[in-house]
Amino acid sequence: MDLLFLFEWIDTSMLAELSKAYGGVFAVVQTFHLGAMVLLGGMILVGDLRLLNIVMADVPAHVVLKNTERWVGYALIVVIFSGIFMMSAVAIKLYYNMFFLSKMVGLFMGVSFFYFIRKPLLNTDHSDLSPWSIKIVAIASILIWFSVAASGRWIGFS
Amino acid sequence: MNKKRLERLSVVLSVVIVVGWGIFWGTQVVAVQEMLKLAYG
Repeated sequence: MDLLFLFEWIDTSMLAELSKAYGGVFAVVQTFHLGAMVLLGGMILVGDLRLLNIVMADVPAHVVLKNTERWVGYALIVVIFSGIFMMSAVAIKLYYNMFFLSKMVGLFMGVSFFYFIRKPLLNTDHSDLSPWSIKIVAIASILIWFSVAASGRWIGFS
Repeated sequence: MNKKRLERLSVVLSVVIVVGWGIFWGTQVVAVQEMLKLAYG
């Protein structure tokens, strides 16, 4: 399915007019975007590193996950809305950028993995789960989110 | 979904992701090396 029409629509929208005309507004929104990304990545990483027994080994893993998952949700909302605003400024350019597509696919995978696999499997007691299952899920989660971050940075160099 | 079933599904999916990740980023590293070779010889 060709999504060019969607990018063209965003490029000519009022949002794009705002993001292109006011550099200051763009910078403020970008600050929130970056802050939310730090929160998102940090919460995911703390949870996954706890699952790998690298950090906070003295706190039960499901407690760490329960406390970090809520913040992942809040951060995702900010990341998505601020991201739409930022992409409106360069929508057509991003349509042709392979790493933007890669980032979006990674984000979709990360969110799906988080809400359909990691959260339902791991936010209750882990005593009935194999330690290897827990570790492979944590590694997969880290790799997905690493890809999202790397693709995002790669957009700037492509 | 039954927890044991979800665990099995999670392991299969995770292994696919880890292997797929290795293949994808492996090819990207090769592509970057080729690009650098073309640019700097």
